[in-house]
Amino acid sequence: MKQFDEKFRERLEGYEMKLPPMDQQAFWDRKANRDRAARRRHSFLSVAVGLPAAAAILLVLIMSINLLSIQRPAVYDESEQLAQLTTPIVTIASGSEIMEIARIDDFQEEDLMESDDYGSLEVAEDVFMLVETMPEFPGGTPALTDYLKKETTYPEQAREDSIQGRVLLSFVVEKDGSISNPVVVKSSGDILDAEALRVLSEMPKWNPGMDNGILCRVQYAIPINFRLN
Amino acid sequence: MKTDSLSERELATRCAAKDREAQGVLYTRYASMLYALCFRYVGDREEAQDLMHDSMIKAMDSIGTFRYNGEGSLNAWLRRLTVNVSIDRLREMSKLRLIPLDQTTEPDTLKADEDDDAVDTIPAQVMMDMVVGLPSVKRAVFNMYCIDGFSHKEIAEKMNITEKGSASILAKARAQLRDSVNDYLKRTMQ
Repeated sequence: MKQFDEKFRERLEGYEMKLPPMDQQAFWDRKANRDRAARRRHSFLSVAVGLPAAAAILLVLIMSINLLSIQRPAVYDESEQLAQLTTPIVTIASGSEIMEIARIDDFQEEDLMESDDYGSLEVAEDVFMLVETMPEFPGGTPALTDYLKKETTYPEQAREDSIQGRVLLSFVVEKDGSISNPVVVKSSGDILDAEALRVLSEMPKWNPGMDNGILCRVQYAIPINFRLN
Repeated sequence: MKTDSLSERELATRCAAKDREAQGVLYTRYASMLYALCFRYVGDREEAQDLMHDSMIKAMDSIGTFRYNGEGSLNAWLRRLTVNVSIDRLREMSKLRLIPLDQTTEPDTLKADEDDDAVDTIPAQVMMDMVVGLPSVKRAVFNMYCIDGFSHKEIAEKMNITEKGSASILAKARAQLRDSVNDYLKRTMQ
């Protein structure tokens, strides 16, 4: 068996593939975005740590002079909101044998923070990740792919500005097959996000998910790629 | 400046100092290989490009933790980091149901090796297609164990399976690849 593995390793270990044109530019753009986001996060953190500290000192000062009681600094609310991100948003259907609590993991958290819109991440409790019969786009995955290709138009503005990217959308397939709770998990800028959300919201009804003979709300995600030639 | 001839050690040191030019060299030198590596794991060009970018950014951010250990060690470090990023993404995608985590079991049979030399005639690109054609879990285990040098223990930890499970998935992956190889050879011999 070693020999068989070895043949594959020999050929594929250092295998190189030609990258799409403009990849290098796309890479540097992305890196610059990341660096900016990291700086933003950093400054937010220092504010989040700095302000309460300053507020605490102030509080002690004020209390020592026995003045009026003061309210909690506003910054606490923000950190509470952030904490929500790490709580499980999905549970697994009780009829399913697989016991797993899915949660939004690091890479998404990061992307959500970058999108500056983590407030929209409130999904009702009974949304499942995995059920016996997963919901399906009418006609299956090939039909979904065709549908997305057909219905998505490249926004003119994005074309002019050479904006490309991949929008990752998560949503819930309701018990009646309709789509709800669309969330941009991974943004590629407002223009492309908006088009992706438009197409998502105009999708025909899905065949809903079922578990143990009971209709279930199920979370799903799809990527929509925007590429200029 | 003669950036083409930078040794791995120099390259790593300069990248750690956030030298933009060195980062450019890092990209040009390794992007195509890491892109192919990601493709081997996810089987989708867009996704592979995205992953390669993520890995490259992560590498540039964390290259300070890289310890030079002879020529080739930077290459190995980058590959390993990229495999880790790819596996994390695969797990993420399986949660998001982007791809089904197909773990269906088939009889674990292997035909005797008829003609291993014939395998040498298969173009690398065709072999890539065969690997990419595996269901995601088999693909990941085969890639990690056979090509990227992870142990079953490491695979078990990364993939949340047991070592035994990893070994049995690997056997199934090999069996499926063996079938692909035989099919290909049969078709081309005619």
